[in-house]
Amino acid sequence: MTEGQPGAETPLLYRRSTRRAVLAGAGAAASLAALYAAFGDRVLGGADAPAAADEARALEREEVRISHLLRRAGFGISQPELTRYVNMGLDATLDELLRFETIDDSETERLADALPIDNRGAPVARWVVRMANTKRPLQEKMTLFWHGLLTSQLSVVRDGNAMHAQNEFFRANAFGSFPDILKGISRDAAMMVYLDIDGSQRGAPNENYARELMELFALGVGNYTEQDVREAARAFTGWRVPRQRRDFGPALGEPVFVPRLHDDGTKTFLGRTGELGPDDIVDTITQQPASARYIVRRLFSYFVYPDPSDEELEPFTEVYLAGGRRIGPVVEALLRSDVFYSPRAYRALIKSPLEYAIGALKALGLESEAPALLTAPGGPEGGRGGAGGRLAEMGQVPMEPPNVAGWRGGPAWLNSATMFARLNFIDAASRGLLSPRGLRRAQPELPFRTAAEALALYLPLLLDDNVPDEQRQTLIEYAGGLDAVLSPEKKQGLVYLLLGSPQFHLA
Amino acid sequence: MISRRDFLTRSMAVVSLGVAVPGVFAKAALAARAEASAGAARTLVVVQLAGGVDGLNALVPYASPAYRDNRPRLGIPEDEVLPIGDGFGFHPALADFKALLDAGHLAVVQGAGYPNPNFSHFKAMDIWQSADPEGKAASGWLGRYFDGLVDASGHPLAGLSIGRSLPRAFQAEEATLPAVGSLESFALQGPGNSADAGPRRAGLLRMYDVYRPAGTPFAALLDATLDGAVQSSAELIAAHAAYEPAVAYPDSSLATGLRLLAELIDSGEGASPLRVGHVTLGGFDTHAQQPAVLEGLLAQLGAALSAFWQDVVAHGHEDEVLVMTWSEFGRRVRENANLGTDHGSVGPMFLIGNALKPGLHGDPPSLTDLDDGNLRYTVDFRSVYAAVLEGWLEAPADEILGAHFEPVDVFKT
Repeated sequence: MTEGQPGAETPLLYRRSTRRAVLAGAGAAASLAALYAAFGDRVLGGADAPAAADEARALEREEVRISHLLRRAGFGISQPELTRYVNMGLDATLDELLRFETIDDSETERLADALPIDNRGAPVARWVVRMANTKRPLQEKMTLFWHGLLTSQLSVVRDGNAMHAQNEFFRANAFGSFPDILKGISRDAAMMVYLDIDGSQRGAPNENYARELMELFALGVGNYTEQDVREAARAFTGWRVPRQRRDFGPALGEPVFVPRLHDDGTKTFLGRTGELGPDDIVDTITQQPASARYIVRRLFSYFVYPDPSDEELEPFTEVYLAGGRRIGPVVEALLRSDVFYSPRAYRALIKSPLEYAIGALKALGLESEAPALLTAPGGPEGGRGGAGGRLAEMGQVPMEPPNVAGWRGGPAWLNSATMFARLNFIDAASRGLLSPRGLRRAQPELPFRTAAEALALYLPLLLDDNVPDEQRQTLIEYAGGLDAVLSPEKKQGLVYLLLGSPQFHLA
Repeated sequence: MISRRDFLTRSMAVVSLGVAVPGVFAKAALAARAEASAGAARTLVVVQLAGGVDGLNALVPYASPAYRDNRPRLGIPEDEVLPIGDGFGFHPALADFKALLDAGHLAVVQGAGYPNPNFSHFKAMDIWQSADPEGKAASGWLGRYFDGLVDASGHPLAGLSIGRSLPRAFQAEEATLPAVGSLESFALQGPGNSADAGPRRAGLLRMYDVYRPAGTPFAALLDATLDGAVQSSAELIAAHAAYEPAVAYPDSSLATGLRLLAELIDSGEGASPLRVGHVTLGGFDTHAQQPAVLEGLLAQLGAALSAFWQDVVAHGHEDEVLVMTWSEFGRRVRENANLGTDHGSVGPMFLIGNALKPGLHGDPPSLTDLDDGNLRYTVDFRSVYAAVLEGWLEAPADEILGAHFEPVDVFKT
C-alpha cells in the first residue's frame, strides 16, 4: 500500500500514516525535507544545476552579495546602510558584522533602555527596538538564534525582568563557546522556571530540562537513552528560584543552590561515571560528535539553507572543534564560505515575521517606529501573550515561541492568515498607519516622483534589482507608465507592490 | 492567477517526474478523489473555555454534603440549581444548556482529566491541546488530524480558528491552518473605496503569478498560499453576505465567532469544507469574586451556543455539526478566602449534537476521596477526543493520540 492510499478500514478522507510515531517531537526538519525533495535540488537541480543558476546569477554582483548577507546576518537593510556597505565592499562589511564588539551601539541601547520592563510586552518591545536599530545586526541575529534554540516563554516564566536578563545573556554570549552558553542557560532563572530545574530535588528529580537539553538544545533524538535522561536529571537537582509576588507574575530572584536538595551520588551518563554535576553533564554532551553536528547543523540551517547533508556540514564541524567549540568561528566560516553565496542559498529561506516586518520598516526608513508593531494588546479571547500586535498575527512574538521546540520556521511561517497579516502590514506601513487602529501614524518618505525613479531606488534596495520582466512590467503598468508623475496614492501603491512582492518574503 | 487546480496539476507534474513523492504532495494528488467522495461531511466545533472553569459550580453536585462543606459561601443553593438528575444540576445561568439537554441535544462527560494534573494555565493548556500529558508533542491533536487528511493541503478552509493566533491544538507538521481574527483582517486591506483598490490588488496577484524562477523552492508555495488566502477570504465574505441567520446572535465575540462558523458550514453548493472550527471564551480564572464573573460567562456561553445550535438546525445542518467544550482545568474543591477558587484538576466537558446520547456520561468524581484537595479524574480527556475522532470525524484516534484510549460511549448507535 502506498503512502496516502487510504486503507479499507479507514474512510477515504483519511490515510494511514507510515511516518514515525506522531508524538516523536519536533518535525520541522521532516516537512522542510519534504518540500526540498519536491521543489528543491532533486527535481530542479542542486547548487550547480543550470536551472537554479538563472535567478541566482545576481550573486555575481557584489552589492547583491552584501544584501544577501544582511538578510541573513541581520534584519534587512536600509538605504543609507546599503550605500555605506557597498562603499566599504563585502570584505570590510563582513569584518564589521563579525567584530561587532568593536562597534559602538550605545545609541540603540539608549533607545531600548528608554522603554520600561514589565511582565507583559515591554521586554519584547525593547528587543524589537534593538533588532530594528542596532549597528550590530549579527549580534542581534545570534541573540534571536539562541532564543529560538534555548527557548523560554514569557507567558510561562511570567517575569519580564527574568526574560530580559536571559535575553542579555544571549546577547553577551552571542559568539561564545557552546558549552559555556549551555552552562550559563542551565543557571538562568527564567530557564530554571520554564523547564522545571526550579524545585527539582534529590529523590524526585524533574526530567524536563535534562530531556530538552539533549533532545532539542544540544544533541538531537537518537543519541541518548531514557536512562541518560534520568541520570542527567539527578545532576540538575538542588536549585531553587526565589520569588516575590507582583502585579502580574512573580519577581524571580537569583537562583540558589541548596546542597541538601542536590543528588550528589554517582551517576552514569553517556558512558561517563562519577559524581556528575550540571557542568559535567553539559561537557559530556558537547563532547559527543553528534552534538557538534547538531549545533553546526542548526547554525547552517539558520544562515545558509535548510537540511544540509553531513558532507556539507563537515568543514564547519571541523572549524567548530578546532575553535574550542566557540560559535563565532563557525558563523564566520559560514558567512565567508562559497556555499553561502552559492545559487542554492539564494532566496532559499522564508523570512520569519521579524525579518519580514523589520526589513520592511528599515527599507522605508521607519525603523525607529518598530515598537509601534507592539502597541496592540492581545486578542479579545485573552490568549497567551499580552503583546505582539501585528507580529502575533504574522505568527512570531519574540519571547513567546509556540513551545519548547521553538518556531518551526520555513514553510510553516506561511498560511492564509499569516499571508494576509504580512501583506496588510506592508499596506499599513506604506500608508503610514502603523498601529492597527490607525492611532499612530508615521508617514514614510517616498523620495521619488515617477515609476522610473521608484524602480531605480527600490529594486536594488528590496529585490537585488533582480526581478523577472513580467514583474517589472506589472509595476510599470500599475504606475501608468515609467515617467508619469505619480499621485500620493499611486506612490504608496507602488511601494506596496514592491514590498509585497513574493521575493521580499524570501531571505 | 493560479488556481488551486493548477497548483495540483503542477504538483502532479512533480509526481510524474518519478521522484520519491513526499506525503504532502501524495495527499494533494489524492485530493480531487477525496473531494468527490467526501459526501455529507461533518464538522466539529471546539470551544475552548480558557482560564479553568469551576466545574463544580457549572455542573453542581447539589445533593452532596461534601459540596456544601467545601463551598459554604460559593455553593449554588439547591433551590437555584437546574436539576438534571442523579443529584446534579446546572448553574442557573446555564438555562440554555438545560433546554438543549431537555431537547435531547446535550451530553456532559463528567470528571475529565489526566494523570498528574498540571496547575499552570499554559502547561495545562499545552497538555489538553497536544493531548500529551508530558506536554512534549510539538503538534496539536487537531493539527495531527489535519496532517492525516488526504486533502490536508487542498482546502484552506478545512480548519478555521477564530482568533488572532493559532491555538496550539491546531499546530500541524504539514497542514497550514488559518487563524481568523475577523473578516476584515482575513482579507487584503488597502485604500478602501478608492479607484486604485482594484488595480492595486490585481497588480499584487500578478506579481505572485508571474514569479516563476526555476530553482527557487518557494515561488510556487508563495503563489499558492496567496491564492488560497484570497479564495478563502472571498468564500468567507460571500458566505457572510449571503447568510441569513435564523436567530439573533448575542452580542459577544464568542457568538460572532460561532456565527462565522455557521456561515461557513452553510456555504457553497455541496458539503461544507469545514471539518474543525475552533473558538475561545476566556476569563474563567476566578480566584476572587467568582459568583458574578462565573454567572456572566456561563450565561454568555449558553446563549451563544444555543443561538448557534438553533441556527444550525434552522439551516438543516443538525446532523453535520458537533460541539465540544474543554477547559485546561477545574478549580479546587474548597473555596478560597476571596470568594473565589484556585486552580484545580478535573472538570466536565459539554457536547452538543444530534448524534449524542443526551445526559451525563462517565462517573462523577468523588468529593471526599481527594488528591491533595483536588478531584481525581474519572475519564481521561483523551477518551473523549478518541470518541470524537473515531465516532464523529471518522479518523484513526490511536494514531492521532499516540496510544489507544477507549472512546467514551457518547454517541447513539
